[in-house]
Amino acid sequence: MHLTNEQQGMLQGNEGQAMALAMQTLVKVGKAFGAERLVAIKSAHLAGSFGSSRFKAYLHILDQFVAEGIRVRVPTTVNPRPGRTLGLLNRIVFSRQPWLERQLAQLGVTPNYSCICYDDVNIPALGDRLCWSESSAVQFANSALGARCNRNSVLVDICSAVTGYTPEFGYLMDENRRGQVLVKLQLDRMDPSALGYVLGRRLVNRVPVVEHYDFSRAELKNMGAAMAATGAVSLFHVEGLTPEAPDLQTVFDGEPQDVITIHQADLDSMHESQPQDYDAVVFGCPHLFYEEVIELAEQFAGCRVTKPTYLCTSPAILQRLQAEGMSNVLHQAGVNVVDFCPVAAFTPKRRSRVLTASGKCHCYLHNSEFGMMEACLRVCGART
Amino acid sequence: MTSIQGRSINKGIARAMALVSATPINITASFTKLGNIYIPGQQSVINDRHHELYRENVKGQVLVFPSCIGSTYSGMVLMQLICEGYGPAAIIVQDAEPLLTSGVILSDVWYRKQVPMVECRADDFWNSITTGDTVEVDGVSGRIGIITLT
Repeated sequence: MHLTNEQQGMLQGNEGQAMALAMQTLVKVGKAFGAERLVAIKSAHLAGSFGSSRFKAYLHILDQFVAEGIRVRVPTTVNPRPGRTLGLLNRIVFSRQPWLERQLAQLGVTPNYSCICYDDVNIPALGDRLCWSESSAVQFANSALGARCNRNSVLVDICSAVTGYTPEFGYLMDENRRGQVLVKLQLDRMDPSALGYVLGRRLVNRVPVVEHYDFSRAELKNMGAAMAATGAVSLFHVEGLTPEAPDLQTVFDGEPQDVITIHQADLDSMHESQPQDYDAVVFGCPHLFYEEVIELAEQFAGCRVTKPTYLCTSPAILQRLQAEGMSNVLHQAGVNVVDFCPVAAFTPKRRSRVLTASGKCHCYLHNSEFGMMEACLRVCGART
Repeated sequence: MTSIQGRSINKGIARAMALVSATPINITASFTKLGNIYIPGQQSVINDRHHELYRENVKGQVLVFPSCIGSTYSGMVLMQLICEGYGPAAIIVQDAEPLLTSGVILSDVWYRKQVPMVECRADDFWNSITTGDTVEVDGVSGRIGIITLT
C-alpha cells in the first residue's frame, strides 16, 4: 500500500502510540481488501455509543486516545444513547454511559446522539468519501445521497476520525457501485420495512436495484435499515429515484446479473402470525424523521394508548417537538417520545414482548414481532 | 488430509474442530444477549434465535460460515470475545467483509491476540467441510487442511 509521508509518519509513531495503532489498523484493513492507498474523508459517524461494561476492550482503546490528547480531525457524529434511565437493569447494563460520553466529548465528537446524523449535522454531498459505521446511516449515505462509504466497524470508525483517512476499497470505487440484481415488485400494499427485511435476507451483500417506486425519504431510510440488518447490503438503488440510478442502463452499466421478483406473499409472511399480548409497541428504528413523528402524531391525537408506546427520534427533533408543543399532544395520548435507541433500551428487558413496524428493530430485539404499521397502531390503541 | 488454498486475512496458526454453518452470522445479534453478558462462560454462545447455530458455543472452534451480516458493532463484539479468551480458534469465510475482518485485526493490533482468518471460495472446501472435522488453518499462507475422521 502506498502511504504519503504524513501517513507514514503517523504509522511510525510521530504522533504518539495510539495514533500509530490507529494507522496500523487502517493499513491492515486496507491490505485485507486490496486497497492501494488511504484517502481523506469528509466526515465520520461513530456507532459505539452504548456505555456497557461488557465491552471493556473498546472502552480501554478510547482511554488510550484520550490519554494522549487526541481529537478527531473531521466532523464526527455519534449514534443514539442506550436509554440508561429506562429502569434499574438498564442502569446496570449501561453503567459506563456517563463515562463514555465524557470520553467522546474529550475526543471532540459532536454530541448529536442519533443514527440519523444525515438529517441535520452531518449531511454528505454526492461523491463525498466517508468513514461511517452505523449500518443504516452508511446505507442512506450511499444509496439515497450518493456519498461513498464502506460498512465500517466500530473502532475502525474512530481510527479514521482521528487520522482523517480511510482505506480506498469497496463502495469507494466506481466499479463496485453499479447495480447487480434487478428487483421487480408485484405488490398490492407496499411495506418498505418488510421489503428491506426480505431483500437483505435474500441478497446478503449484493447491490439491488429496485424498479421504480416513489419511496419517500423516510421509506428509503426504513427499507435500507432493514436490508442492512438482515443482510449486509450497504448500497441499493431505486430506478429513477436515487442519485446514481437515473435509469436501468446507467445503474447496471449493461445487464443485471440476476432478476428477482418480490410478491405480496413474501412480505405478508413476515408479519406476526397471531396477535399476542404485547408489553410495548416501538416506532423509530432508525430514529424517526420529524415528518414521521408528525404523521404518527395525527394517528394518536385525541386517543389514549392502551399499551406502553415509544416513539424514538433524535434529541434535536425531540427538542423541536417540545418547542412546538407537539410532544404535549403525544404526551396527552400517553405516548412516550424518547431519544434513545430502542434496540439497546429494550435488550435488558429480555422478557418484554415488543411489537414493531421496524425491520431493523425486529432483527435485533430478542422477543420482538414485526407488524405492519396499521397493526402496530391498532395494538397500541391509536386511530387506524 | 485434504489441503485447500485460501486467501490470508489475518496471521496465526490453529488446529481445532470445525463448527460449520451455511447461513451468514449476525455476530452482534449472536453475542450481545443478556445470557452472553451475565452468565459466566456463556459469552461465546450464539444467542440468535434466527440462526441455525442457535445455542452453539464458538469458543476454541474453527468457525466456518459464508459471511458476517448485520450490525457494525460486530468487529467490537468479536474483539471482546477474543480478548477475554472466548474467541474461535480460527475463522474461515467465503466472503471476508470489513466487519468480521476488523474484529480480528483490532484484536491483533491493539491487544496482540491473534486469531487466524482465511477467506476461501473453493467449492471443494465448502462441499467437504462438516461440523466436527478437525481443521488446520494457516493464516500466514492461507492454507487450510481438513482432517476428516472416518
